[in-house]
Amino acid sequence: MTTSHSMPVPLPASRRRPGLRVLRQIVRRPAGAISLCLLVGLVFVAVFAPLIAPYDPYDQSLRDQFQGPSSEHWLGTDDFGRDVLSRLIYATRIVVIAPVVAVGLAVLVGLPSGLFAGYLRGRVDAVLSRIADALLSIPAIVAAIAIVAVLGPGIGTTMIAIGLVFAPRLFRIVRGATLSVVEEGYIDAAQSIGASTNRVVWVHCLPNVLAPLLVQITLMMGFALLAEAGLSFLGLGVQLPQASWGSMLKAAADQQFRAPYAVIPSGVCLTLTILAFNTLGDVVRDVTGDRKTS
Amino acid sequence: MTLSDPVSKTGIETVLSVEGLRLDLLGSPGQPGLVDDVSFEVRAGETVALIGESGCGKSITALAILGLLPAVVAVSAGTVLIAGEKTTGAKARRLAALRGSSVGTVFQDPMSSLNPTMTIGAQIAESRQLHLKESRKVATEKAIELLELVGIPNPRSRAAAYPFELSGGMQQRALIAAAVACEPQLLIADEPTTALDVTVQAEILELLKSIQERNGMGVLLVTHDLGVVAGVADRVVVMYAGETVEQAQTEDLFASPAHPYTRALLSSVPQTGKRLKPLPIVPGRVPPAGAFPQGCRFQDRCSYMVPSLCLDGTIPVAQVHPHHESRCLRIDEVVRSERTP
Amino acid sequence: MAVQFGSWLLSAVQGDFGTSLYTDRSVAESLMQAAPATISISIVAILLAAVLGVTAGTLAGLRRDSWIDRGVSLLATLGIAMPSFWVGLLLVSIFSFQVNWLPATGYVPITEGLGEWLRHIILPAVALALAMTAEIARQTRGGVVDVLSRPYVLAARARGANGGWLVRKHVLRNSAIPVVTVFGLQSASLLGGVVIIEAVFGVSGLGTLAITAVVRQDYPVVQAYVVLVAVIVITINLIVDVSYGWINPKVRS
Repeated sequence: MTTSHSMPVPLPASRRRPGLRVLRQIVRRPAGAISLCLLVGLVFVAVFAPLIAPYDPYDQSLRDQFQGPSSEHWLGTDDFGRDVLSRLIYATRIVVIAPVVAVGLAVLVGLPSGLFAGYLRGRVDAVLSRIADALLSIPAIVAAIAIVAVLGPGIGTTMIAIGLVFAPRLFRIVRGATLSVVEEGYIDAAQSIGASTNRVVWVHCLPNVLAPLLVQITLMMGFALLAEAGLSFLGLGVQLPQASWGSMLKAAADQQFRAPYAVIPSGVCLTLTILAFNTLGDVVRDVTGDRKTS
Repeated sequence: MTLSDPVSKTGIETVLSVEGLRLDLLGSPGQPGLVDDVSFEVRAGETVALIGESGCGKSITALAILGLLPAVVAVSAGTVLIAGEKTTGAKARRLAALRGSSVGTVFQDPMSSLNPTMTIGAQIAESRQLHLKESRKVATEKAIELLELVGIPNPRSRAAAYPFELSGGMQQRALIAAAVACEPQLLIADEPTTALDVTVQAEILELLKSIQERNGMGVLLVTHDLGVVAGVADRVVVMYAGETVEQAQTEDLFASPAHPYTRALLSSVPQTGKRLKPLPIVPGRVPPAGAFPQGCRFQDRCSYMVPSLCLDGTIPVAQVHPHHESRCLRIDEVVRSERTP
Repeated sequence: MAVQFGSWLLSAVQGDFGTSLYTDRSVAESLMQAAPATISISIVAILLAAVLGVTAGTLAGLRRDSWIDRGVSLLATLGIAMPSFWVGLLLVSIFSFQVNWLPATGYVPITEGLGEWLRHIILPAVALALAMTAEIARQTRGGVVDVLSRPYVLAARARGANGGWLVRKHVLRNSAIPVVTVFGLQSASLLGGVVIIEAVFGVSGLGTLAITAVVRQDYPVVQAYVVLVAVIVITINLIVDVSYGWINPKVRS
């Protein structure tokens, strides 16, 4: 039972080198290519922020408060006279890191538990599913707020909170996909020739849940960004003087009666990025032919 | 309203007249029609079978008669008259007023043809509410009478039931009740028994016959089942690859088919009283729409085909004798040859 | 700890959520005081989303590939991507600072006049409703397109049903099941979104209470808030389950 030597069970042809094939198909569609470009561009901006930003994002100048767009400050200045464009550029670092950490944590928790629950079924599945159901009866933002209440405010704890909130959602998707895979014959075949539980789950079940997992991860990135922005807007996420698009919105909102349109730049950035994640998720779903996770 | 004389020379009312009908797939100019040069009639009290293999265009012809073509298909030539009224080119509202009142329809799969969230009674009452402006109460009482007429026991409780609570045969009876609720002059039955058990099939055909005897409606029976045709049809219209290839009285057609396709079709039906021998099958397949050949559309599968004759132009319909016509240039050879090829 | 939570839950059921660590006030009292504003905004938003979403989705589904369909799907895509709190801020910029028609902040109880109540509620409700409207419109459109392709719709048309009759009797109810599912999910996530919307519009509702409690580490209040929201979500799910039976007779039996 514990031997790891087993006959190789042939996988369906389409599973071989799926990554490259999927990527090629995504890029072939205009919507996929545009959103992928936008997201890769964001990573680029985040990495090279110090080179791209025209000013120091933390440089305050109370004389230059709330300037409109000018040739010096393309997007104007904020309540402390800081250059808005530079702050937006530096904030992309949060935008890139926060969803990756949060969704990464969700995968770390949700993927193994979902695979094992779907494969083993029985008591393990019952207990894990109950827990997931209970957690899912609390709206994501509310659950994240509760977790931040315990861990304390800050961008690190916010990302952990979002990750934990998404974990049961991912668990459900993975469990469902695994259950339907287990029905198929070749999992039985692998079992019958004595492959260990661990091997069956990771070598035989995992490749078959990758398509819905990929769709879900992409869509969750968008939700994670939205949640981070929301929590930062509430003052629970990013703390001063660091900036995220959400906390910049909050600063602009507080001074809205003086500069009503200062809320536009960071909001547009947020919307476009979330739009890119959502569109990419839809394209990935089309490309992988995954209909179950709608 | 354009009303032509609905009474033909024989004195019997023509309830459906299809003349030179051509249907085209939109956005494919220059291609042969999905359906081309289809002409036939149905008179009151008569059952006409429209037969052919799947994909030959019989169901789309039925939809064209009803004015219910999918958005990508259009009538590009010919006319359809229902009870003397021209329906090709008629306004959508006028067509809707004819459907259910002048022409009733029964479809293939009773389960999926019934609205799952509406009671049986409400679906039968529907056309009376729409066309005769009856109140729901009055129409529902009428629906119960109709359920009784189509042989459903406990009609009052069945009227309040939902489709999933009835068996397939009962569902088809209910749909027939809905189709004849306004006593239409014409009933189009599109493969009405195909989805049912063999034992139920005969009952449903029997029911259609008895309703027809009662109200004298004309029936257009669309089917691929020659057994059904032999049992109930007065006349037969055979379609192949979007064209009518032969039409005749039923006995006439079975006794002396005048088109090679009809011959092949008939010889592939098992016959009782004969020694068992392998059934000949019609070789090849119906060409897909858009890939119809020049000349005779049956040329690839025909054992009578002569290259100098059959591969060019369009083949006209010719009279075999009065009331029997065939779209073949070699009718004499076909008729003269032995029954079994 | 489990025992502690159990005894807390027992008294919570009896309406006793304990006392705030920070203000010495009864938690139940604070919740009661904050609830009306949150409930008002949420209910108006849910109603708006249901009515607008179903209408837009139905029109788009019936006129598939028309300019209405394209417009609805574009707006829905945007509506899902735009953060509700940003939409709230934009609405304030326009309707409060630009034209000065509606108040930017605050909440007025319904007991002080329906008009004033509505004036304060409409902007937060619209901002909150946007994402839910978009999701419902998408789902409704999909449902309508699917139902229109069903044989029973063809059969009904063959009976003479068309136009409004066809939509009312045959299309709407049959396309409702997936819409109701989304309605339940979105109502729950709207209860999360209202927290941020309260912050945008300076409404002291349940969300504001909870955020203040988080910052002050006032656990009894946070705990009570989370349990209250969970109870509301479970109630919504229950209503959704019951409505499945009402929509589809097969579920009933």
